[in-house]
Order: sequence, then structure tokens, then C-alpha cells
Amino acid sequence: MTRSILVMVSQTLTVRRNSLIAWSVSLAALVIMYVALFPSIEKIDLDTLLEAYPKELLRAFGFDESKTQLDTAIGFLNTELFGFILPLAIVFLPTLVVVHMTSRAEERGYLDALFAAPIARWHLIVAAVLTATVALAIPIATMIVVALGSAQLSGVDLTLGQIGGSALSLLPIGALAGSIAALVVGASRRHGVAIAVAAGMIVVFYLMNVLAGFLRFFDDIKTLSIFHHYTDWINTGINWPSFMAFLGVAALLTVIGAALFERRDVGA
Amino acid sequence: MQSTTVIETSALTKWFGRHRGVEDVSLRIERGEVYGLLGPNGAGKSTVIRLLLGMLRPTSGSCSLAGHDSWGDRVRGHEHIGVLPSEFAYEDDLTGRQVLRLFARLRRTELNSRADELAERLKADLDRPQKELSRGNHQKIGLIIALAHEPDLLIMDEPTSGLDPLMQEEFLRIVDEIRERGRTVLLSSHNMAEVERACDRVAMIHEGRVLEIERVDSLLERSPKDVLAVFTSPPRTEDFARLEGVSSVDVDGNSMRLKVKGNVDGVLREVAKNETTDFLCERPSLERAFVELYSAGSEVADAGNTES
Repeated sequence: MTRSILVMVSQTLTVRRNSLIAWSVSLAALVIMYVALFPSIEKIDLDTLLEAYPKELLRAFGFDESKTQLDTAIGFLNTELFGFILPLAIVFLPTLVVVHMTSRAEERGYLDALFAAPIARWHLIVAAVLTATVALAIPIATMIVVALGSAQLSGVDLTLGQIGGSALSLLPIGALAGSIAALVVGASRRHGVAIAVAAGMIVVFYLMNVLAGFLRFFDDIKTLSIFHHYTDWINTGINWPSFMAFLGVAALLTVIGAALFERRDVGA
Repeated sequence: MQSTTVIETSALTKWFGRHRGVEDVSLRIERGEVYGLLGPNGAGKSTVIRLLLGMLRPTSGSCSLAGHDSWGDRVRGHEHIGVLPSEFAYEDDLTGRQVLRLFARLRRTELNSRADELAERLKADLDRPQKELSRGNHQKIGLIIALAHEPDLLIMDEPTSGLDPLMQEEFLRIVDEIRERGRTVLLSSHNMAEVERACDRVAMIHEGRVLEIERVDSLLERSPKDVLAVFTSPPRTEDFARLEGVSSVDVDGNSMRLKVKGNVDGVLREVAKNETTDFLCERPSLERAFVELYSAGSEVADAGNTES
């Protein structure tokens, strides 16, 4: 059972290595740029400027409302990178990996060949989500290493605990996106639908958190949004129960997707 | 006693929404048989195969491979089978050898010498990325994957599509070898000559229904031979029309065309009574048998449609 899953995971990582390198290099370049930018930003008193903004707005965009922290490297990175760009960009990597292995493969006729071998369909779904998680871990690990290296070179004060916590916080968001894609793939053979729903749901979660600062309705349900928790994780450190709870939700969606995939027609 | 039935379908029916895929298909394929599903494009051959492989869920009825239900127990049913989909494709960036190695690993084996032997016989290019290969070369890789682990049962959907005539001949030799080893083959095709050469029995499928299941040699025996005789003067139609087995006589000047079922001895004797300049007797073909059955099937279907 586990052998076929591992074979599919390793094979897909090999096939998609160029894509993973591209993601890792792009995100690493972004991190290097922001770390290198920090010493010049540090001299500007942005905190005073930002304190003039409504706290709800600041929190919506990933600022800690009690202290904007732009005078620290991790505060700056959390505000500029981890608060907005990275969590929305990172959802596409696991989503595309899951879709590549499942519905895109189905549309290209690959699954006719694959399922000729004695492989349970749910193995493919589990393999797809596992591959997506590993694929996500590679650029995240690269970002951590590159951030620490460039901080060292630029004389910026940045610790492994700080950057590691922020980068690791991206993992549940990516896993959730990948597992939503797996859930949709379980019910639909159209890869565009899986990408649209997974990315769309993450944007909805993001907006739920942003609008919670302005609208009562969203404030009442903001705890359902992973971004509400993510903002806390990057600003005050990872809260492991909520972190694991979202990984659990991702696992549950994967199981439901696998069960649906077992029951539907596959291929043309 | 161990059952000799390797593939069984019982009143197998599949609807795609309001469109009929196949209806009430019942087949029984015994160990050691080379069995053909014959029909034009869209007849439902691939649907039967996809149902057998557990890719599609039957609307009603059931099917099994080696005693394992195709839908509920498909993984165990696939342990000892080789499958060639109608248009083999898998990760175009990989070379044929990488794909073969991957499928060997999925079957918990290693790439073996049988794969190399097959690649040599089929002249398959295993070292170029598949995206650079022609359709026929893709198909060769699919064939090697289907055959390399020496499966007890081989299921192939349009196996020679894209292969050149020399490779089609090589493929038929491979099927003969598989038959000699007592293994079972199910193949679908619209290539009559291929089915006639390869198969012991055929199921003819028309608009999702089985028209006829018959041994190939029996079908050929039942089909009329085409006889052409050219005389020095116009022949007397009635002399030939009364002969046993003659189903039609068509005279055009000094030429006469006959359709003869069974023994042609009487025809030969009658021809010999005339001064003859040419004589040709073509063996019956599966194609003719198929066309006749298919025409009959269409008429039945048309009549059914009219009545409804």
C-alpha cells in the first residue's frame, strides 16, 4: 500500500523538479530582496506612520495591532511578505501539484495507464496531497535558509526561531489548499474547477479575515478563517493546537476526496 | 475445481446520463482464449473494457476479472493482468525507459529482460522523451508495459492503432505466443483482418449491444464465398441459381459473380460445362460476416426505433 504511494510521490517530485526549483528560486529571491531592503527601511520611522491607521485595517493586513514591529527584521518580513504576498501565492503550488497528479492526468489519459496497475484510487489522492505537502516544504525550507544567510550577510538581526515560525505557518495554508483541490478532484474530473475552487476558497478565507475588522458578521465567524489564526502564528508564535487542527482539517478533506474519487467514473 | 472463466459480464449496462454506453452485455471468456470485441468506432467496445477495468461504474449488471468484481474489488483483479489503453499516454516528459521502470516499481518488480526483448522486437525507442515520439511509438511503450510482467490475462483496446504493418505483424506473432502459453487475451478492434488472424472467438457489438458471439472459424464457415467466373459467352443464370449454397447470381456480359455458402463443388462442375477464361474463388472473410450481421443488426434497430 505505502510502496505505491511512495513511488508516485517520488516520481512526481522528479517530474516536477524544474517547477519546484523555479518556485524555490522565486521565493528565495523575494526573501533576499526584502532582507536586503530592511536596513534602509529600518531608518524610517514607519511605526509612527502606521500607528495613524485603524487597528482593524492593520490587523487585517497582518500587523500586530498592539505593535506594528516594523523596526525589527521579522516584523518587517511578516508585514511585507508573510502577511500578504506569500500566503496567497503559496496556495497555487500545492493546488497545481494535486491537480497535475489527478484531474489533469485524467484529462490527458494518464490514469487509464496508471490504474491498469494494482493501485487503489485513494492511493493516488493521498499521494497527491503528500506530494503537494513535500513540494510546499521545499521552497519553505529554502526560504528559511536563504533568509538566515542573507540576514547574516546584511548584518540583519534574524533568528531561526523567528523566520522558521513564520515560514512554517504557511504550511497549513498550503495543505488546506491542496486538500480542497483533492476534495474537488474527488467529485469532478475538470482540473480547472479544482484550481478555481481551491484558490477561491483561500481568497474567501483571506477576505473573511480582512472584513472581520469592518463587518460584524465576519467578525463573528473569523475563527473559521485560517488567516485569523495565521496572523496570530506569524505575530505571536505558532499556536500548536490550532496549527494541528488545520492540518487535521486538511487530512479530513483529503479522506473525503479519496472516498469520492473511489466512487466516481474515471477517464473518458 | 478451479473455474476456467477469466472474464465474465452479466447483463452489463452503462448509461452516461441520457446516452447509452452499453446495454445488457453478457460475456464469458475462458482461460486460454483470445477473444475479440469487434465493432465500429462508438459501438461500445472501449466502454466494455473500461467497465471491466473498474474505470467506470456499471449502471446495472456486473462484471469480473479472474473472479474479482471489477468495481468493488478492482485492485486484486488487476494484480495479474496487463492492460493497453486505446491511446497509451503517461507523463510525456519521461523517456520510455523511465516509464517502464516506474510501472515495474508500481508492480513491485524490476525492469526485466522481457521488457528489453519486447522493445527490440517492436523496435521501440526507449531513450527519447515520449513527447518526441509518434503515436505508434507511444503505443509500443504501452504494449511493453502491458506484456513485460508476463500477465495471465491481457486486455488491449485497439492495440495496433498507430503501428505500421510490419509492427502489426510482429504484434500478432506476440499474441500467438501468448496463446501458446495458455494465457488469455481480450482485445477490441475495428480491424477485421487483425481480429480474424488473432482471435478464437468474437463478440460483435452494435450500438452498445452484443449482436453475436461466435467462434471465428464458425463465422467464416457461415459466410458466403465470392466466386467470379468469366466465360467465352454469357452464362445461363438459372443453371447456377438452382445450385445448393448459391445465394446470389449476378451476370454482366460474359462475367458472372456468385455468392456461395459451404462447398463449391457443384459450382465448379457447372462452370466446367462452359468454356471458361477466368475463375476466382475468394475465401470468406470476417469483414463480410461482420458487414452482414451488422446490416441485419441495423435493420433490427431501425425497426425497433420505428415501432417505438
